[in-house]
Amino acid sequence: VQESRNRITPSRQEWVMDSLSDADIIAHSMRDPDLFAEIFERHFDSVYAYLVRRVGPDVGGDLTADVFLAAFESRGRYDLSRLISRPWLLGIATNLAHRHWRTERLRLESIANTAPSGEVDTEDETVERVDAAAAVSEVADAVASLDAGWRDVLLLIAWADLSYAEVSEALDIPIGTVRSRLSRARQQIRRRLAASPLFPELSYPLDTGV
Amino acid sequence: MDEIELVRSLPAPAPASPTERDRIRASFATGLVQMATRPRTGSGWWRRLSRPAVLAATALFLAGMVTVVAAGVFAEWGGAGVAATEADIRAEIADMQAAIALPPGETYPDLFPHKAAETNNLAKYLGVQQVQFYAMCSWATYWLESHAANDAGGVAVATAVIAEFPTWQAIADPRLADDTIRRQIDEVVAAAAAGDREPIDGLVAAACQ
Repeated sequence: VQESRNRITPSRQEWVMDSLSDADIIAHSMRDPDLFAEIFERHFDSVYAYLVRRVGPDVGGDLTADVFLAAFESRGRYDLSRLISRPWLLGIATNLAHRHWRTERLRLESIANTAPSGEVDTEDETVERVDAAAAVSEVADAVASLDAGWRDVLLLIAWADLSYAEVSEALDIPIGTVRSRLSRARQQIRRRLAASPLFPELSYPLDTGV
Repeated sequence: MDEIELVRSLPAPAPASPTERDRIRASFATGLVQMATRPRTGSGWWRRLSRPAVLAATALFLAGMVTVVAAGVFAEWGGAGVAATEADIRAEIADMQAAIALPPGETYPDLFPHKAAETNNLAKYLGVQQVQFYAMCSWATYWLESHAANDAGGVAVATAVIAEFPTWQAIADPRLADDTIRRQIDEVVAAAAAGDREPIDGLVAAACQ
């Protein structure tokens, strides 16, 4: 791969890299480590967005670099049957985020304490903004109250858009466990929010078809 | 709206700015270099990563070729005074080149000391010195070029490698270098960390051209 990259033009190089799966790149990076830079470029945005949403920009930025360092270190154990490495990287990110639970809780609290901002024209608009802020606060509180394992599953689905199978891969747990943890997380959130007039749609029974 | 949608609707942070992305890329690359440039004795997982990690780090910064002209003044500094064969020296060179990566795009030239061989002056560790001095010149020059180009990532990687110079045998081994040389290298290390190019310019001008 490296020899091919050296021989071809820049546009041809991009084409060759685009045609390689993450698994191809990780496999080749065992002999040609500089290829791993492509994994960083492909998945930086996704890992950064997930971590910053969980632990804030200061810690999240640093943890993003740590995710790729840990991935580089452990790439020899990567399951090459998995063509896309994003779930693997987000699993590493989730594990690293656990070390910063206090920061994550503070971040959720800061979201919960978000006050309505900006000028308003009418009394109705003021009421809407206060309600919206209160709703955000209640949802953030509910997320903070979840068991860590349930929260991981919920946030990988809600914030990182992973499928159940990808969450299973990311957290190295059976897909049935993914389903049960998600169901429990949803039930707990529903119990906390259903009594609030801000969430009338949650007064109905939980749809078990998740 | 179900529970997942509610969680999804919580405020999302802004994407990383180009500056933040560059900072994190540099942090990643520096981490790789730090893994790779620790001493090669003792135990630890990083020993298996040494050269691959440096290569991966340097590949993140696709800078142009660094031009460094041989070992110059450096080559006159050392010498363990113990005779060695051509095979000994070639083995030293091969070992050192496998252990020390050069900046992005660079490859080692023929560093065998042909003149010393022709005059029967091959000495033990001459191969080590040839490679380490060449690498020092390359990384010092790369630091200067990255600094001039405002390439924070390149400066970070080069600074991390330069910080390891005092531990390299050509500098640390008292048979190969004296305190004067070590002081000069210490100044270069401090200058690189502080972003002060003058001592690094001085080293390159005196020893690398």
